[in-house]
Amino acid sequence: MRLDVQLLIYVYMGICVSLLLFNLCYIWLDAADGRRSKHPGRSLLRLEKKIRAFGETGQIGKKEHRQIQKRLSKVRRLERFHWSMEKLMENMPRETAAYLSACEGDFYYLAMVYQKKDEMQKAFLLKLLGVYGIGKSLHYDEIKKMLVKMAGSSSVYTRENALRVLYRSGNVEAVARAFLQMSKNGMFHSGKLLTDGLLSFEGDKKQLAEELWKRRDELSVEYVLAIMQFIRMSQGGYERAFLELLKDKERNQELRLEALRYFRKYRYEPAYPMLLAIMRGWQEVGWEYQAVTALTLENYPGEETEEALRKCLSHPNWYVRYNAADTLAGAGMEEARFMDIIEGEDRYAREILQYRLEWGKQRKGEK
Amino acid sequence: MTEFMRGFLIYVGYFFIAYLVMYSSFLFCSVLAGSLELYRQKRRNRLKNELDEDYYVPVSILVPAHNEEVTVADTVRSLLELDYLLYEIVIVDDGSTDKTAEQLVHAFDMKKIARPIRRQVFCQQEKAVYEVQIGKVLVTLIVKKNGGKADALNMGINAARYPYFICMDADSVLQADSLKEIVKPVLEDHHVVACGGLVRISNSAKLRKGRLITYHMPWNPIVGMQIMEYDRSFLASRLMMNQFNGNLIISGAFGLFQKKIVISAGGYDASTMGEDMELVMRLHVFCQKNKLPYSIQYAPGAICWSQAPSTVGDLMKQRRRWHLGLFQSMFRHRQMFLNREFGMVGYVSYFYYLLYELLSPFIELFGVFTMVAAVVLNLVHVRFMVLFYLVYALFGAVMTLTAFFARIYTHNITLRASDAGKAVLMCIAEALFFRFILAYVRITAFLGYKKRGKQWGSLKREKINIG
Repeated sequence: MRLDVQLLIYVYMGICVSLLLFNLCYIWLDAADGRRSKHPGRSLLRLEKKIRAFGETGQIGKKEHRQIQKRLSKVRRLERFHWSMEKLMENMPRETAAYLSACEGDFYYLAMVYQKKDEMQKAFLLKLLGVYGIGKSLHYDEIKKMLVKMAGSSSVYTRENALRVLYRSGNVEAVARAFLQMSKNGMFHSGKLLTDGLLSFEGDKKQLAEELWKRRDELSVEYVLAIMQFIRMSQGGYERAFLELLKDKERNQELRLEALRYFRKYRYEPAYPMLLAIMRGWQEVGWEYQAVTALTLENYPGEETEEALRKCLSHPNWYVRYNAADTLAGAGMEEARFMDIIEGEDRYAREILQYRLEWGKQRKGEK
Repeated sequence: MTEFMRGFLIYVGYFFIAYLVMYSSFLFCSVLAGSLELYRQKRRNRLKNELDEDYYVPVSILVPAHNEEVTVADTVRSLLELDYLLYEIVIVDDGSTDKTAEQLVHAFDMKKIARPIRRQVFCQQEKAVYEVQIGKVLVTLIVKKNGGKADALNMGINAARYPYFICMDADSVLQADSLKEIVKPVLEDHHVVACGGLVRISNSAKLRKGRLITYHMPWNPIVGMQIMEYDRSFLASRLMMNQFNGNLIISGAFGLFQKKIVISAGGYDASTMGEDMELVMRLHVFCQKNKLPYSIQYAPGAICWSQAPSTVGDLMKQRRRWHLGLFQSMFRHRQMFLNREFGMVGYVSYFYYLLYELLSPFIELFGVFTMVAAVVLNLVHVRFMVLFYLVYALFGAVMTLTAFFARIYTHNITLRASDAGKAVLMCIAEALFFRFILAYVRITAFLGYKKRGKQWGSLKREKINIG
């Protein structure tokens, strides 16, 4: 028994020493890599020469294309290539960009190669496509299909990088298909990433919004929400559709709330009665609707609005009170107009309004 | 009688062998899993597998402070330098008897404002609220009645405007990219309810604008040994537990939480000393009981620099608090122990903390007594015993060194040869001596337990070296 335990510990120690050696070797190799990166390597010089030659002839030979495809199929070489390209982009940006653009076909070939590799390598290649601006003229169907497929990957990085290439391509159909693919695969992709991504779309955003909105019934709620946010942040023109959605009590709460936010940015008179109805509690809705509507009403000034907001200062929910006070305080009215509340008996209404008024004054003072 | 003792000691011997084998196996697995995870992470960074655009989740940074006049203004200054788009800073002065609040009001020209605070979790009454907008960041100072760190954090939660909050210590500095790093798990998985960052010791580091300028191993053995200990526990056991959503601790020095779920779970518990661990355990219980899909993650790329005690006295004070906090949290959530409902959290995490953290000093003390008895009864093979102890200590030291070097290469830190030498010495010293100091502290932690109740663990503060 004693010997066995001792033996076990020695075995562990052996493994630990191996781990230690691995770490030391790694540090040493990393340091060597760092040293190498301080001196322009052969790869950098070779690429620079090629780019200069391309600048003179404006052409890349078939043999060179084949070489690029073969060499960059190995991720280590692709890393080195990227490292060199980063340096060259700093020193000769125009020529490097032109060279990379001429290599577009090679990168599509590489995309096909890398789609069979592990997720990290796939994501890396896609990242480089984005960095090099490749994908602007995405005209190969096969590549589009592959990118759409990659957008449905289980790795968030692969998904996001594939989407980035698609956004850059400006291809409406491909982006819509990618969204359908992700939704179908049940992939969670942060709403922030989706909305910001759509906003970076380099094609016709109006057309993209139309296409995505048309297919909303095939998408899960998170995706529809991101599309609505994209529409709100980029353009108007969906007033009627969003009002219809807002009125439909069967629709998801988050979507209806997003419709309310839309009307904060885009004033739409036919929505006003609905907004007032929500604030006055005629619509049987939760406090969330009233809280958002209290902010939306900043775009609908008027007596009725003021009256509805004043009432909401006594609402039992804190957020409704806060937002109503915020809108009232931001409406630019004289403080004297609110004396009835400030001197009134409702402590909650008084405190929240005073705070927002005071805050507004302090901000003005700071400016 | 002698026969009985002999039989008893033999069984005790078996128990200790099993205990040590289990511990060394756990340590080995955790270091291995941690190293592999770090290697994977390094590869992921090299291959640019990261969300590096300006994505953000709005975050409220809560800074509970009690008698922090020396460091608090610098802490806020460093927070204002963070590389992040949308955040606010909420400092809660928990009944300080020094000039903590005055320092802040003066340093940032804060204005008193009649702000009502919505009570969603219980906390002591506020006395005054100050606010100032600095650039894009709203800075709020709440001066309140003393109620302890957990109570101050609850006040911060009540005042926070954003859906996620960060808890941190007033003597800590967040690295410039730390918010970007700590929210990444939230962007990647919407089930993440809490995420811990990596706490590193700032005593021998120089930072400028939230970026590390120089780093070296200190000569102070108390600090040095803590560096080794932090590396081992953060990068080894926590990374391993991360693999199965089994982390029971997110350090109070730096953690991100989803506000909604923390409020639903009742906020921080002001009656415990280990409010950080207790909250994480409660989140496990709350989510499990309510069948909520959840994930508690750990982001080793999110770095917070925190001061470590540099004297034995301060260290003992701090560890006593930690050990009592551990006891209170584990006792309160004892239902997790070997409970099938909690899966690996109950079978591995809770079991590990119970046996090798909470009870280990008592088991070790028991070991010393039985060893004395065994010597008296002439049952000990002294040479084997000494050898066994040395091998075991060496094993621990090698594990710690592995964790240390794993961190060095994943964080791209350049280390001088003298620092590497110091690290080796500290590792050995930690395995041979430090654990005995800690064992003593843990055993004596329960003395005067009731008296210490909700006190802040006040340690001697030094100005932070933020350049």
